[in-house]
Amino acid sequence: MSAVLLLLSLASAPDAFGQNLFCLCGCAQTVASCPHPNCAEYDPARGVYGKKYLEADVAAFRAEGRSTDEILDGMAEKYGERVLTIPRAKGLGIWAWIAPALALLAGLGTVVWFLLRERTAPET
Amino acid sequence: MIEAGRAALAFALGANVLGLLLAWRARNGEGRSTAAAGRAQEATFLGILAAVLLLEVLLHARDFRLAYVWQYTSSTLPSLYTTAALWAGQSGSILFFTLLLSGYGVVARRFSLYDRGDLVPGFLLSYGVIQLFFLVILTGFENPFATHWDLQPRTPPIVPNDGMGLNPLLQHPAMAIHPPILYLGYTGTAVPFAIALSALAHGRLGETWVRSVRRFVLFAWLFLGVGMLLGGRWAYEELGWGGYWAWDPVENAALVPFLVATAFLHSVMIEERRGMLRIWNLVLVVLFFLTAIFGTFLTRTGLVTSVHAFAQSDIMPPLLALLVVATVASVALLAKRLPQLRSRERIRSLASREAAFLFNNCLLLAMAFAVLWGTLFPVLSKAATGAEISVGPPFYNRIVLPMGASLLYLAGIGTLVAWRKTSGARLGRAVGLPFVAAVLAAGLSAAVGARGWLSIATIGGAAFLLAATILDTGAALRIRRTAGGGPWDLFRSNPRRYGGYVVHLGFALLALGIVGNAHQSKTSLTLAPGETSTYGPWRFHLREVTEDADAHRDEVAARIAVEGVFGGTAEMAPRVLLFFAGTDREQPLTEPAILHQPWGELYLVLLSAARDKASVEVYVNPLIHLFFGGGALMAFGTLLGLLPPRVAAPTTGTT
Repeated sequence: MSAVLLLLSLASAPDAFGQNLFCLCGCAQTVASCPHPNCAEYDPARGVYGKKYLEADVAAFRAEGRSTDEILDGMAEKYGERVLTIPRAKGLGIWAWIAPALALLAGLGTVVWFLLRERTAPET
Repeated sequence: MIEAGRAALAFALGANVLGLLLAWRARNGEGRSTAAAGRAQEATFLGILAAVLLLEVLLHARDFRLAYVWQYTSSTLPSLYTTAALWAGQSGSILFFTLLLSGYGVVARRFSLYDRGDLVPGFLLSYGVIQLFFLVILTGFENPFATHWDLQPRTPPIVPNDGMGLNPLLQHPAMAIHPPILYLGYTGTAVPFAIALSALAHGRLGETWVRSVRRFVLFAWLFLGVGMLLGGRWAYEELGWGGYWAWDPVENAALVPFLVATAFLHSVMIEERRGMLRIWNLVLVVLFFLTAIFGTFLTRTGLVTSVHAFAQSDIMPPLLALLVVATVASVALLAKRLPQLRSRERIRSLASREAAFLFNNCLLLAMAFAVLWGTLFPVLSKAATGAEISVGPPFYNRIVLPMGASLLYLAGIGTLVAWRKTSGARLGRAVGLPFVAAVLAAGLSAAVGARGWLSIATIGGAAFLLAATILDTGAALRIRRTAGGGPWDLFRSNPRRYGGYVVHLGFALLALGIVGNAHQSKTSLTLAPGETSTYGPWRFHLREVTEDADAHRDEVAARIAVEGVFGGTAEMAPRVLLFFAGTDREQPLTEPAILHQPWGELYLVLLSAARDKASVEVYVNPLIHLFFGGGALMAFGTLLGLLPPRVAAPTTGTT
């Protein structure tokens, strides 16, 4: 059930850009949830970019006709992977997705193995 | 006063070390040393309590010689928040944390282990070691009684005129009580851990230790849950982004032990009922403590970036040492007692409550692992490649929420199946109606516009769990009525069971609230005074933009009449506040306006305002009250479950 729901949720992932990007003003929140009303922090030397700059880049990419994935690639290229809230399923990022799935499968496998062994084991 | 505070901490440290020596001498059951170690434990508590009271006096006296008082208070800070400044910063909050830790230890020894003298020496020894680490941090690494000149010896000896003031975001009633409640949850994990280690060390692994431990796990679980809920409400009302949970590392740090404890509270029933899973339950108690300390480690050392994390400090070595010592001691003692812990009974059927609880444990621990993995992944990726790969809310929503939705179904099945074995025919009959309810609810929600498979499956799961709980309670009530009893008699006969059912109902409502959050919608409106704009069925009319000021802050508010709500027209006034706190802390704070409605809440945030126009963000948050109401119901159910069962009066005479 869990694995099925996991697949379904991946298939129906919402396309909300504010949720897909971290605001780089130092608030440690997404662009959608940055608590600063008009966040325009800007200090490239420290890697600080308020959501206004990120939103402007997204708008520019959209104007170029880029797809969602291409926009995210473009943002990662410009600001680094730290700007994305969803690790990309390539390189090291794929382990972010694989490890929890493996943990769940290993756990389910262990429970099933344990229950089957218990059913056939003699009482002590 | 400052010297007295330092002396109180030194006294507490000395008493704790003495208590450890006495507990070590008492480990073979020497009664006088055990009693003396108990008194040393109480003396330690009194020393820490004195330090806390002295720091409070210094905070209220605005003694700006102390770096902590200067950093977190100002001459204009209200009394309530001056008191709460105790837990606003690193050193003060560790002092408060240690006080709660120490208080729990005294309560556990005096009131829970009073009839288990055999466990007391080991308990005092384990607990004393945990306390020792925190007292060493307080006296050597993060001393709240440090002056400016202690921290920066070259600073000229000038006392500042005013303090920096408390962060305005923290000046909220929920924030005044949220940290203490959360700390009660974190520190509460130490008691079951120390009892478990003591039971392992002394080889007293009968049934009674589990009962003592379960109650403390339940308390810690309750406080962690309520702490997270209050934190969510604070974020919702103060941060102005329309949400309550951001999957921030500090939030995750509390969620992980909460999930581990939830697993224990289910699997411990198997041990109490059938004497099985004894090793597993010990592992969960150990994990509960280790994940709580690891969460403390994550958020207090600056290892992860968080909106809530404390400033980076040097306490990593002692916290890391505590984690290592606790892990090594637990593994060594578990290995030593393995032969004693083997169960005699077996789980004979997959269609049994035991099996359902095992799958529930598997899901809960997989969720805990996923949350921990996501929290650590940025640190691990940076260590591996030098480039940080961030992990944010959408990752957790896709990985953790499907497992949470599965738990709804599993909780329903666990309610309906019997212990030991349920026949296929009986299981089919029991599950049939809840399954129909789930399909109907899911179909109906899809028909009325629910988006996404996960939301629809979650609505089905909530209906399944609600139906299963109602059916099982209804069947038990019918039996009870034949014996002349009513609902209250049924509840009092087994408060733990029916309290648990209330927790399940709360969980189902909370899940529906999460589905509602997935259907949040928002828009931005810019209005001139007298102008009206519409969004969905609502009309927003800007009446005026007002300005106000007092000694502490400037305030700008947009007064907006909202039409189309239940009950006609309502006025909402989102605000932006600018605090002048102390020397140089000026910070804007958005204060959203929230309109409670039967279907959910309208939530307005003021983005910008001038005399001739105001821009607001309008959030529509359906079913959000179910999230907070469901969480509150879970807490209420937990309290119900703590009530003692009514014991039937002994019958007299002959039959």
